[in-house]
Amino acid sequence: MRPASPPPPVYAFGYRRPPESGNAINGAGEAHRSRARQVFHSSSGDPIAWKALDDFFSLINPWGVVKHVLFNTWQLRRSDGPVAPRRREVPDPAAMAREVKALARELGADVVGVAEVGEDALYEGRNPGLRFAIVIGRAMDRAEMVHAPQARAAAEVMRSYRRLARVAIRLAERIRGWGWPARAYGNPNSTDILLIPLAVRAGLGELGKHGSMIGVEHGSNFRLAAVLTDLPLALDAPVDVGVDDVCSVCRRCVDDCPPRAIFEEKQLVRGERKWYVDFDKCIPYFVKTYGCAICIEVCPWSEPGRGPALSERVLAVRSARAR
Amino acid sequence: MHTLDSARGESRLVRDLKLLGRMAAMLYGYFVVGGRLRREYRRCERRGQTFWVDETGPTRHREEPLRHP
Repeated sequence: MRPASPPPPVYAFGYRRPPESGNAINGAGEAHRSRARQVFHSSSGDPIAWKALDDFFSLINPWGVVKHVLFNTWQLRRSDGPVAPRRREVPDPAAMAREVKALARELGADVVGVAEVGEDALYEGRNPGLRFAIVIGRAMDRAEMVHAPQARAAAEVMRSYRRLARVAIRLAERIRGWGWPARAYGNPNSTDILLIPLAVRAGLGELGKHGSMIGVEHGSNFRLAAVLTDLPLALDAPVDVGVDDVCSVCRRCVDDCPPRAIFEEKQLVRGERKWYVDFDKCIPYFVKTYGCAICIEVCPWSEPGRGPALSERVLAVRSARAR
Repeated sequence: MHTLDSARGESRLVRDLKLLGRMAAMLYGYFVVGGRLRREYRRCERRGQTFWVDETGPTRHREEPLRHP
């Protein structure tokens, strides 16, 4: 899928006094490891450098998008709550993880994995105080997402977050009912955790060239949420499905990105060389188009049914080369 | 026992009423403040001018209801 005629990266909005570069805040070029810092979306009320543009973004979004944000806000009042006084014993964390994953799928998650909450997944100054993350993902309606970068796709993004948040809320409620603390993270702008590092560690996919997750089943056409808990769970391992092999030669998202925000090579970001998107180029276009999403939809992995075959072929090629 | 400190000692009714109040403020912000902003922004777009988000931009964040008091 290639967008028919995306609007040009020309903007009728801007900063009179530009804030610090988002790339600098994100730690681009920094050789030492450190936690991520808030830069754009923020739900905590903490001061963020790009707040004026973030506020502008929230108010120019069409009602079809905003209504899902409102509904999500309302349901997220139940993201946390009382924990049952009697605790269910967990003699086998692997069996518990299987049960939790089955429950998450039953509630509506398409993919689910378990990871330990590490430093790389926490924003600076944040500590939810819970050890495990049950990361869940839900595919977006491709028929709607092919309309990216238009409001119709933006509405589907927020609709997906809202549906996924409902799954996370119910899962967290169930775990609290078992006597274990659990908190649902169904707000995409959470200021505590970074969902992508957690999802990578939970084996849901790999980081792609466009800075988003790529999973075998849904490519990048899905959204993430999480439940943080102390319920003892067996951890999943990161997967290697061949994303790096493809991204290192594929230029699809690079070529189709109107503001040319996607780097062709991995960048050094907070002490780690990884795929990274130029924040200062991406975000104005993201704002103008209510969330853009071109890169995740043009990604070959996002084409329905293509991922498993692509992964198999790429891994076979790699294996043949290694012989 | 609650999962996090933020959930402590507040009845569901109080929690829900507080959130409804904040959501009402958010709706006001979107339709009234945002309506003015969107009109001004479209005017700038038509005239080839720039809408300065740090000078004339909004003051309310759509996620204000989720912020901790």
